[in-house]
Amino acid sequence: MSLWIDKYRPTTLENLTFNQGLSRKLKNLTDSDFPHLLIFGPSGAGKKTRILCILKELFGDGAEKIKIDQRSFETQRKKLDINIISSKYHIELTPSDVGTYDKIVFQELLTEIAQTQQIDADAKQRFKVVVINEADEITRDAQAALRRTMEKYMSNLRIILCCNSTSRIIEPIRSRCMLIRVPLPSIDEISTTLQHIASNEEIHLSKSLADKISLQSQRNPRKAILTFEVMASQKKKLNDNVEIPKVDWEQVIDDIVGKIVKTQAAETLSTVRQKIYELQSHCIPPSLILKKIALGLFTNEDIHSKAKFDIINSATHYDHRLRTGRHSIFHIEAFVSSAMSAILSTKY
Amino acid sequence: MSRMEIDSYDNEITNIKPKLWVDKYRPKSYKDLVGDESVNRDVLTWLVQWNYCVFEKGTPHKDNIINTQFNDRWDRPEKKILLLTGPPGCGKTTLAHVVATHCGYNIVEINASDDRTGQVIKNKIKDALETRSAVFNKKPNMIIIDEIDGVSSSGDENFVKLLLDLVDGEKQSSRDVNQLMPKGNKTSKKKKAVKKPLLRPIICICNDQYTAALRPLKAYAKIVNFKRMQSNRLAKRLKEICDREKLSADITTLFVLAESAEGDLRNCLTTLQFIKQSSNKVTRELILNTNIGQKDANKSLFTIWEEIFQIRSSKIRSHDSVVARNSENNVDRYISRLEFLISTNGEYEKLMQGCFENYLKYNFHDQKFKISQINEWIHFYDQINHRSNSMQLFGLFAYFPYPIICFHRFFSGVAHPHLEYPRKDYECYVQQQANENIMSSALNGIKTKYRLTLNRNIFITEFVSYLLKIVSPELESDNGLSSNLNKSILSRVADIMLSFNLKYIQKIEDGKTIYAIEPPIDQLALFSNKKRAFRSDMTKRLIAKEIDIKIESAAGTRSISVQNQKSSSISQSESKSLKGQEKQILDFFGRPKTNMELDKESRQSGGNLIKPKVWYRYHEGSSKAVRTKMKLKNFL
Amino acid sequence: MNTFFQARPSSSVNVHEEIPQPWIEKYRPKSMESISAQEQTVAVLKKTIESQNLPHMLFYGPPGTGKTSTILALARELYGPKLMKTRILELNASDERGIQVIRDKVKNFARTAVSNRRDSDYPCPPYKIVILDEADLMTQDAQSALRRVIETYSKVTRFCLICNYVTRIIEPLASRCAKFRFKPLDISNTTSRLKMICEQEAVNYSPQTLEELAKLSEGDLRKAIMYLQSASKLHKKEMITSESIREIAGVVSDDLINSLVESAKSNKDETQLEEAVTKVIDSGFSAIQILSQVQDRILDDFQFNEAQKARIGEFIGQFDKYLADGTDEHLVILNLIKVISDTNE
Repeated sequence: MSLWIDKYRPTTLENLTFNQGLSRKLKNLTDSDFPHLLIFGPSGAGKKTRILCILKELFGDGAEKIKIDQRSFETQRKKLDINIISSKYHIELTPSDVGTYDKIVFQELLTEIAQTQQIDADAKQRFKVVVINEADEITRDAQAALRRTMEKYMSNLRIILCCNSTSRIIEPIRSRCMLIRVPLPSIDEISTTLQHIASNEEIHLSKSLADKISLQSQRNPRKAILTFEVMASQKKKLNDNVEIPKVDWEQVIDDIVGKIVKTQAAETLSTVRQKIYELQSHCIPPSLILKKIALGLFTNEDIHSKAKFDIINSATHYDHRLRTGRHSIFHIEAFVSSAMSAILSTKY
Repeated sequence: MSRMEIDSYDNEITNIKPKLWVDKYRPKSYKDLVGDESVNRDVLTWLVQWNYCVFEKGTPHKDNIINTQFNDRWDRPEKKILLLTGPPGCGKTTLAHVVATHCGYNIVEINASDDRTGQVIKNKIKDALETRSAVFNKKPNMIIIDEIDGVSSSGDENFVKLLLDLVDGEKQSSRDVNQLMPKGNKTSKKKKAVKKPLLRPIICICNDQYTAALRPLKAYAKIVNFKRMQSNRLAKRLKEICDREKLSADITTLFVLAESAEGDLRNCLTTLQFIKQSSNKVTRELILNTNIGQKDANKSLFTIWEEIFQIRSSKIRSHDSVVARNSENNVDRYISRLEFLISTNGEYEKLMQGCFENYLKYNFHDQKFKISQINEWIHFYDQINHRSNSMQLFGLFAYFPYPIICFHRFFSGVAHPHLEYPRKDYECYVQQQANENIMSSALNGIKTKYRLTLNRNIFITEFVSYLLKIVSPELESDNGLSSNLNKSILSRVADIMLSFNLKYIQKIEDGKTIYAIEPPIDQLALFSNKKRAFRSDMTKRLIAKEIDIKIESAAGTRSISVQNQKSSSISQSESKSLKGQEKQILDFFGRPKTNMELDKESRQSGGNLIKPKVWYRYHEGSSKAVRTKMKLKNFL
Repeated sequence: MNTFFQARPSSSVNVHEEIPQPWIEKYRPKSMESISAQEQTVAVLKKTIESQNLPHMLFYGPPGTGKTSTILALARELYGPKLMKTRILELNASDERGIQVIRDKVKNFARTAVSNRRDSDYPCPPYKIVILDEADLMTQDAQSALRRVIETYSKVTRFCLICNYVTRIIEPLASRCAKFRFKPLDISNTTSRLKMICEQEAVNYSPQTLEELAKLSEGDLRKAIMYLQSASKLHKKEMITSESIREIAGVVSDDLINSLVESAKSNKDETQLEEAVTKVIDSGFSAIQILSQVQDRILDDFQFNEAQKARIGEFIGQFDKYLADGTDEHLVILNLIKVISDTNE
């Protein structure tokens, strides 16, 4: 028994419900010579699920027997630990875990894997697969190192890169991979899935409520299914008027937005700062905080359209500063104060 | 702060060779001291509290409130270290010496010039406390550690730690500390075998009590804060000395001197002596040329923050205008002044943080405009900070003071600022680290199969909040515990929690036993707006019980099968007892059963596995409604 | 759930015929004649071969225009396939190319005299060739070190530097070389090349698809061939469609871009703008791609006057920088749309 999100996760390419055209193409790929892949799409779209399906398609059930190891690497300055998930046929790593030292991981680990041949004689494929998560967080140096590895060891190594956006993948890598885009499923597709789960779990879920859940989860199936499970565990009867639970930290964001819209003063800035600190201490990424506040203000109906132009402008402006700076609180607060002054200037 | 009792030196002046005025006019006895009488008395009182312990004279201060509270065997003061803090030159060292001499101690001074690594200091203190210059006097030793804020928190970490070890002597069993006991002490002889305590007073002196290295010390120390001496009193004192030294000076000139030295008597005296070398008359120009206003004082952080947020009084300003007469306008004046202060302090990061955390508290006009301007400056600061650190562009260090100075430009006021030490950012950082660790342990606990599709980011932003809610279900009603629906919910929740390696464990908080989730993912998911417990303890306890049952039945399945294999070789008596069990075991695997039975029997089979000779039944709770069966192991 | 795996015969042994070669290697031109669309350069180079006096060379131009292919073909014509290996040293950016390598490896190779062995079918001039691919990625120091090496050993060694941006080659080095510019391929050149490959590989294609592919590749033949190979893998023997070409190239469909720009022009309500943007972002396209396609779309839009286009263009430049530094894509695109909608008022 597990969460519905895992229970109803498809494990073969045939069973994938969203983006069936794409699944068919992936199936074609696994039959012929398999290229390097670059899989990209928004969070929750099902990139990881597809990768697991591809692995299963390539290697059979053996790819599901996985274990987690910790490997350490020595650099001049410090020791790095990285978690590696591996089966007989593939390994999976998240190089961004070690920050700017990711190049070393690639150099040592990939070369090591690339140089060892597939030992298992029964293996369906001659090559091993390396899955690289959060590929857009990899430094440029490491990407350049990767580029060489991809060419050199093409005979016994395939790489599957997984990322949210290709913007930060360097061109030589992109041109060596086949790009696979995984869009978020539509509202209808998610509602259908929810209703499928509901009927399996013998819970009544009306179409309109399923739509509402899908809509509020912003087309993210993971969120939608989790939300549904939460609702099912909290309330006995699900009618159309049931309140759909929100993630706690998003409620804090709503709270912040509300405060900014209500009063624009130094005191508000102080209270907002408190809340931002709290969000940060809960490990919410600072750029996400800024983005959510910005979107909340942008779609708020009480703010004049003129102010919104300034708000969205300063949001990108300060997000840029945040990425190139050190102290995120400075920039988030600067954004909040400039949003406040934008609101003030249109008020009178 | 120290009074120069000039008369007593009258006859010396003529016959001794030239001496630094600072030493010459240093007070020699407690009577000579002047200044804040309450501070002097504080220090003296503290030292006198040691009398019984050190000299075995006087009455034990059993009536003393501190001691009765603390109930010290040697009747020492509660805080065993005295920490004197204050700006340079206000007489801290002098006071410590004078008071120590007054009470009859032999002073051992350790200052910044000495090597202050752990081992060296250990030997030094040990020597000081053990040996006694027996030939000259019978005075017990006492240690004064000057400039203790100079120890850095990293390299000399041992130093402060060692000091604390000494103070904590009773709990300390290390050999070195044992030897620290002065030998001629009767009290100690009685307790020779026991770990030996610190029996001599230690006085520490520092300029900045907020230095990171001193933080652990502050809990053990009585802190006496010195304030700057008022300029007019200082000027009067200087006048007396000038007269004595046959240096002609008028009181207003000396006042300027006192002002620019910022109450630092030592500095004034040095300057005066310097002037005396060349002329017999002190003039305004001479004083200003010696640049004492620019003395290289490492001002404490608070002083600088005060300077930033407070507009200086007009008196000082008029003086400053002379000092900075090269610079024409007001703006340049405060910039160069603050720039100097900030760059000599050098702790830009902390200074900036202090300004950032304090500035919003001020009432200022035209707020929006100023805030967005200061934000641009903060951004500038962040940029140079980022570049100098990550790209090693250390040339940028020169620009650090300016963004900080801008806080003065926008937010300074006449009122005395109520500053707080900036700790929010650090607290946030600490909290974040703690939460990162919780997240790591939570993630590592998840079964590999389910972990594949999660990363840290998804876990925290999209997952944990839902997970917490799912494992805190709402049960039908509190009375219908045995209903099938509730049973299935419970069993499902327990399954999920097992696959994520989550548990409800008992904790005692405020005297009440509560159930808390472990690893504490509720800390990750919940915010201060609703930190309270999510579900009743009742539900949590039921879930915890269900998890235990599941774990046991899983373990039971394994060990029973092992037992069955071995059953041929086991002894007669054991096989008898097994027979009874086997029936149950058959039941357990044989047919589908209701949840209630499963519950009961899996419990029993779990109990039977360890084949207890004694059964002990404990019912928790007094009312039947909440009575539950408890296992012995729950209490162990 | 496991039906698929049961259906698949477990005994099926994967037969790996020859190691499948990427088409870009397979169809690399073998001779100078077969190089597409660089007639002028090829003609000049041919003359120099005849005169046997090859200068140091600097090839520059956008990627995929045949620079590396040209120098390899040239070397083959000079030495023949047998001798080529000993006479050529090829270093590209992925190899370590610090100053140390220049000092050791390159210098050692350049220094050694040429053997007398010759292949009678080929001219075999008495010098070797060092090819430095992607020379613009070499450090300044390495380039300066190279400067002296080139001059000292010019009797026995000729250098060929290849780069995308001639401005990143230090002036002293560039002035020692004869410069050859490679221009991007036009659509007809690309299509004819692609058609040749399609016929050889028995790919099911339509002329429109190839034209679309040529357009998308922006004169980069390597990209075009890569896309073609990917598409043929995805489709197997089926007809390759324009859509799948666009998909592989990561290009946003015109419909989506149109609807985005139209909603920016017609909508005043921010919530609706936000929805339009979310729709595009959710489909997973990269923001840089969206940005450049929106830019093309705006430039062709007669509803905007010059001043308005200039204003939007200024913002787009800024956004490109933001994106390169990792600013959130959603925010940037939303900002872009709001700018367009604001300009349109």
